[in-house]
Formats: sequence, structure tokens, C-alpha cells
Amino acid sequence: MTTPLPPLTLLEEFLLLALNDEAGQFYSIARSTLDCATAGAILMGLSLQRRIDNDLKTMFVTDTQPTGDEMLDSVLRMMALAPVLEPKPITHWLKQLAEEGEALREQALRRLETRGIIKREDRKILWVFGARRYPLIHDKEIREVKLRILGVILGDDIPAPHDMMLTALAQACGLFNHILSSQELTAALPRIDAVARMDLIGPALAKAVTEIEAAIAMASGFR
Amino acid sequence: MRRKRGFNPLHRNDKEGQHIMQTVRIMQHPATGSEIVQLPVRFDAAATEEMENNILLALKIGTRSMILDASNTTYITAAGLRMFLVLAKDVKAAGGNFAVCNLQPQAKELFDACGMAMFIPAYSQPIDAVAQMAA
Repeated sequence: MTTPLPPLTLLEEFLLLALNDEAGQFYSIARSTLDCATAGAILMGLSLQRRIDNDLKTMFVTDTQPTGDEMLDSVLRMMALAPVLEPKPITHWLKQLAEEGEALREQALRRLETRGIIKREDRKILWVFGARRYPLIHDKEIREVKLRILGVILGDDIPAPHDMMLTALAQACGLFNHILSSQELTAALPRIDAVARMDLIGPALAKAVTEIEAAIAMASGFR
Repeated sequence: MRRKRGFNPLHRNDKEGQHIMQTVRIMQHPATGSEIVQLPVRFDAAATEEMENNILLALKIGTRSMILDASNTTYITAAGLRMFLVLAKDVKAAGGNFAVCNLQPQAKELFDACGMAMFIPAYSQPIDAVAQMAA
């Protein structure tokens, strides 16, 4: 008898949601935004496992016991090294982890590959530019994630914490613009905003994304 | 209001015979049967972990209406608020009513910042919540 696979992590589900299953590529999202969302997904994962907690001002480690997930545990070890008497705001951790965003995403994508959900294809466009695609092998998982999130934003039930966080990640990256028609989006926007702010990491993520985008815009303007 | 008699999952003993959940008290409103749960002073990740299974067990054995009394809770975190939602969702799924009351300034600020009022009714006193549930 084979051991059942662990459920998909928040980051893995977010990446599936961000994947245009028809094109096998991520929807168009700014790299800095994707990095912040990746960081947010990791912090949310640790928060769901009660290893970290936060109030309106700061985020702190509450339990250093490993979760068993190497990605989460490496971040937990890093956070546990921070001085306890100098707790940092959520945006501090989001920005710090966002610097590792690409490496963290790569790990999560490899796990999705290993589970046989996606495969990796490297192609050349015009024989010069490299383009990576992630065609789906099985669409069961992506369908399940999309249906669940649509249920959250189009229904009126109290969302589960995991789904509430996934909604915040999707909202911060503008994924609902791709998943919903403009009419559906207009109707669902109040509910999406309400769900996305229910956990404090969501609004902090939106703030970090705005700040980083502003910094990039300012830097570009001075060139 | 009287202390609930008989089995109370929040006051059971664990395998080592140690009394658990000493900081959380459950009272039952005599007329409506609503469970009124007194939250601890600090309602954070550690407190919610201790509390969650016990309250969920209370729901399994038939509790249908639950009111969290936060009058002693001077500090609450995101994990504490998440616990409100988990309980509200479970109570609602069981066809019951859920409310919080006596939110202290720090808890109220967090509650409002997260827009919780959209999903969870908050009252000044347990008696207000009981009256609303009975209406």
C-alpha cells in the first residue's frame, strides 16, 4: 500500500491558480508581485501551522518545532534567529522572503512536477529567447483549487482560513482578472476584498506589493 | 447563570491526569442552553491550539449556540481571530448561532481591521447575544 501524498501547500495551490492551464504558462504578473505573493504564501503556511503569529504591528515565531515541510522549516529557522525583543512588522518578513521568491517558487514547482501534476518544457522563441512552459499532466488539482476559490468568492459562507489566504494571494496578484469575466469580477469584488482582508497577512501583502512597485517605478523614472 | 453540570470537554482531564484548559470556562445559559465560553487573557496561537479540539468536541456533543466572552482578553492575535472564524463556521454548519461579546480595545481594533463583523456578530454583553439568539 502506498503512503498517501500530503495535501498541496498554500504556495503550490497558489502556483496552480496562477497557471494558465490552456497556455501552460503563468498569467502575466510582475515578477516583484509574484515574489511577494510567494513570500506571503510561505508566511501564511507557517501561520496556519501555528509556528508564527502576528498582531496589527508585528509578526513573531511562536513555536520552533519543525513542520516537516522543508520549505516552511527553512524559513522558520531563519525567522527564529531574529532577536525576540525586536519583533518586526509583517512587511519586513514579506520583503525579506520575497528576495528568495524565485528560488522558493522553483522548489514548489519541482514538487508539483514530482507529484506528476505539471511537467516542464523549455522552448526557444525565434530561436533565441528561452521560454518555459508548465503544461498540466493532470488537471484534477487545478480544477479543484479553482472551483474551491470560486465557491468562496461567489458564495456567502464563512471561508476556511486556508481559502481565505489563497483568496488574498490571488487578489494581490490580480489573478481574478484572469479567472473571472469583467462582469463577474465587478459583482464579486466586494466579497473578494472582504475575504482578502480577513487575515492580516493579506493586507500586508497588498501593501508590500504597492510599495515595491512604487520603488521600482521611481527607480525607472530616475534612469 | 449556572456552571454546566456533567461532562464538559473543556474541563476534562488528560491522560496524565492533569487538568487542562484551566484558563477557559464554559457556562451554560439556563434558559437558552447557549454555551458561553470565557476566553483567556491572552488569546494567541498557543491558546487556540489548546482550545480548538475541546470546543469542537463540545460542538460534536450537541452544543448549538456559542458565545465567546472576551471580557478578560486584553491581547488577541491573528491566530485568535482565525479561531473565531473556524468556530463560527462549524457552529453555523451545525445549524447553530455564534457570537462574540465584550471585545476589549485591542481585540476590537483587530476585529474591525479584519472586517470580521461581516461574518461574526459582536455584542457588548453576553446577555445581548443571548437575547438576539433567542429572538
